[in-house]
Amino acid sequence: MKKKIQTILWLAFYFLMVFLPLALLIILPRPDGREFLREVSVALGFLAMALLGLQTIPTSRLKFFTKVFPMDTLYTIHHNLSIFTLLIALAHPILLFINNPETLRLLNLIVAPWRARAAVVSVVAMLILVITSVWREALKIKYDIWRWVHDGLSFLAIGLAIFHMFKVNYYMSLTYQKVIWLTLTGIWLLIILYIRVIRPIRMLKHPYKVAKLIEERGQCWSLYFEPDGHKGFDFEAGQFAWLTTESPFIFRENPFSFSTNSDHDDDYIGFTIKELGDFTNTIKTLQPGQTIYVDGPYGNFSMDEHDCKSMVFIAGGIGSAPVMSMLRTLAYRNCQKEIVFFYGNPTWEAIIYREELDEIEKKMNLKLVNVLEKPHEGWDGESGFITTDVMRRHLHKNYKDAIFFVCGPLPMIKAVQRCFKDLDIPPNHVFSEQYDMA
Amino acid sequence: MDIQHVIQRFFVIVTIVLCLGLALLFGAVQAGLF
Repeated sequence: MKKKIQTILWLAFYFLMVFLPLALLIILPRPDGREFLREVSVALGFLAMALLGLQTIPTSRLKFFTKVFPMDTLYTIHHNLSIFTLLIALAHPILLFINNPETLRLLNLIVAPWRARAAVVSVVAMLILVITSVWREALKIKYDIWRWVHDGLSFLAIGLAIFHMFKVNYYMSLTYQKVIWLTLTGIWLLIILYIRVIRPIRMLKHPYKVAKLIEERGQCWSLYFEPDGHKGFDFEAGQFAWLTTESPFIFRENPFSFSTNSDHDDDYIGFTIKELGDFTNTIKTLQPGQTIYVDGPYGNFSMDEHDCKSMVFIAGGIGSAPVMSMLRTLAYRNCQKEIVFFYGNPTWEAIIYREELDEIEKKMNLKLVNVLEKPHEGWDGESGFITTDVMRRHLHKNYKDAIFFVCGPLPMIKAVQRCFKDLDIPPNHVFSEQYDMA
Repeated sequence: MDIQHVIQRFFVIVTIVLCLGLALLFGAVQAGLF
């Protein structure tokens, strides 16, 4: 219930920040109106400004925000709303040009007034922001370079758009509008200050060091850290953290799920990481004692928030890391709830934690269903992918009362969700976490 | 579809609809159409 109230309050806060300036303009006294298209254009400009500034929030990793909303959901919302913001920011001048074609001369930056120059550069910056974000991989832009460019262009777009609004000074001549927009700008600047300065300083003051590194199957490594000179932090099984071996001010960190027992008595934290790219390929070179910076915990992919009699876990490959954290924690608690774990892997040899899962299965009321994409000769288990039929064969009778946790790449999550539809599983019983959220 | 994705879709659609609706309303009010 508490989480529901938090969610509603946050949604109300978000919508208030987007719509309050315009809503007050409609309700309160204001300057004289002009042509319809011109006024619609102005309204879209105000809304684009509010949405542009607010895009600093979803990806800010503010704890009180990420506790309520899943991180992958926040990134998707940021992605979708940023595209919409660009569209209405483009509609703002286009409507003005349609209303009065003479205003096209404002595009001539040599003779245009500063308010128009600022607006043009701001919209161009937004356009580059969206293009480099949507097609980053196709354009072969490295993640850390893209992130610096993204931050710089965001700062430029927001700053110049605010400058444009104050310079136009039509509706902004109203005192309450000035107060609202300066307050909003202050909030956005505080968030940027937190992301770029305060959080890196906090990470620098709370370093971790590598305790041990263990090679797993399927080109995976389990990495264990211990806090260096501080108490560390508590996390919930299923959550994740951002890791970096470089200065936190370089912003070259990567997100990984905890794979260890969250009820641990010691201060160790552990992650299992698959070699998939630049940073993950360097994991095996880490040495015990080496410093690493951890920003977390994040995410609400947590079993502790649900009071249920049975649970179903579905994971593919390295998606098993957060599930393993949950199973290790449940085993440690001697939990005897009915649990089914559908675990998809390419081959028998690629199954991460294979022996440990067998041990856990013996201790708990756990049914482990390995699904192999390329089964070896003589394999009598499930093969292919995790489908509706596979689930039907292994789920408990009262499976509709269970809570389902799914972790894997987006195509797998989408495929599993289609199975849930076939199985008539209530949407509020399903929790998923996808990779590649950035 | 899980509840997170329902909220996600709802959130984006509501933002878009409210933005467009409010912009048209503001335009109409200021242009004296009401």
